[in-house]
Amino acid sequence: MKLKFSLFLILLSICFNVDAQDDQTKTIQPTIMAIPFTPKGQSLRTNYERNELLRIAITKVKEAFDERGVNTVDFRAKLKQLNNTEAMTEDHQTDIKNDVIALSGADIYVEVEANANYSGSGNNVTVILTAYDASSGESLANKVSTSPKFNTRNFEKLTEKAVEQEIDNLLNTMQEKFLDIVENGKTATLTVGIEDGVDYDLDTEIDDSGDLLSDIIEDWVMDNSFKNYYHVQGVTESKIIFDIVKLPLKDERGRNFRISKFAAKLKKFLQNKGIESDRSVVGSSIIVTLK
Amino acid sequence: MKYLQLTLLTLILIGSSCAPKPKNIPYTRTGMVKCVGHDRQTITVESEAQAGTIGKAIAYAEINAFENILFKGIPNSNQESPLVPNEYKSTSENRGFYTAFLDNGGYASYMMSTTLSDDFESNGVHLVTQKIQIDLHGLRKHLEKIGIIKSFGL
Repeated sequence: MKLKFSLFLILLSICFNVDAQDDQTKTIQPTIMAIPFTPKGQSLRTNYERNELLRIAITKVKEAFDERGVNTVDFRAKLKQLNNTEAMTEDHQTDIKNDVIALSGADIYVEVEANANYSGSGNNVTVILTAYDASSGESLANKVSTSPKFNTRNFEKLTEKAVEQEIDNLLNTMQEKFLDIVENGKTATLTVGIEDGVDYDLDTEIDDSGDLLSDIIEDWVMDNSFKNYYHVQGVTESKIIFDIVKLPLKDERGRNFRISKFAAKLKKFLQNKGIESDRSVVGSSIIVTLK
Repeated sequence: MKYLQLTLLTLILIGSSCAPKPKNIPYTRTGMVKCVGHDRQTITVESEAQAGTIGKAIAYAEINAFENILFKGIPNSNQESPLVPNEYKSTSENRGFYTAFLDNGGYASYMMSTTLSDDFESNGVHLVTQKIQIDLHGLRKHLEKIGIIKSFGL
């Protein structure tokens, strides 16, 4: 009797311990990278290496994140990783920005632009800071800051002043968006497409309900998105694109919610409807191909 | 002589009891806080408040400044958003902290300087403008450390 009771107590403590561990699961934080704004047709690397004001602005932005206890992905380090040899043509160089973003694995990037302004009444620097979600393209925060005018050619100092004026407000706005994410879920995108050569499309009725396949998929997304929040960008007979699907940060057990699980759940649902599919997940983008 | 002393004492006592007592004006939060300067880690504001005595008015102005930074944000500053996103929830859940911080002068630890800029007195009411420099970085770190606000991130 005593042994049974002891075993029961041990089992009970294990259960509580597991639950406590679930409660202590730390939320996965988004990774952030500060990158230079580069106009189309210009080399990202050249722009960054030749523009001292830009390098100062990016460094000040990173410094502000450091002060808030956030580690950022280093843009220069990621740039070095790319196979950017002298043999690369000018045509390819315009894709570097997308390559850097994709390679970095950063969830959020802060695009930084710095321009010197000259006038008879004094010089100043304008800095434009834009924070985006890398996968969904959602804007998180935008600030334009112009330093005070001084009769100086020390544009480096003016750049520092311009960034310092608004960087805290940029971070505060980003934090407001993060709080919104905690409350209303994070954004993922979902694209469901039909493989070539398949004998059905999204306008096919696949079960007795009379609903089209696209409607059935949309109903499933509505039922499985966080607080039923989603948005359809467009529907054709071969593709349905959800540009916003809200997903929770934590699952029902308090563990970090994995986007791959959402994709797997959709795959199982489609399987139950007699449809095979492939899925791929890149960041918070889900692509499902019906076969 | 004794009679004269007694008369003088009586007159003094009557005189002091007839002196106007300071008006008891309770503290009320207002939006009369404006940013007059800031750098990366501090903010300097001018805050207005009124009370029956100059000492109380200064204290009210300081509390007003901190409440605006905590719960409202200061336009055209480096803290345009409130430090505490949800005032009602936070004050309900952390009564002890706010009593100690605001009512009992805990905010003084984050006040780098406080200077009387202006004092206008009328009918026993002092309206003061107080210039206060606040260690914003330290305040934010402290609030994050004790769980009043979240650290940056999700």
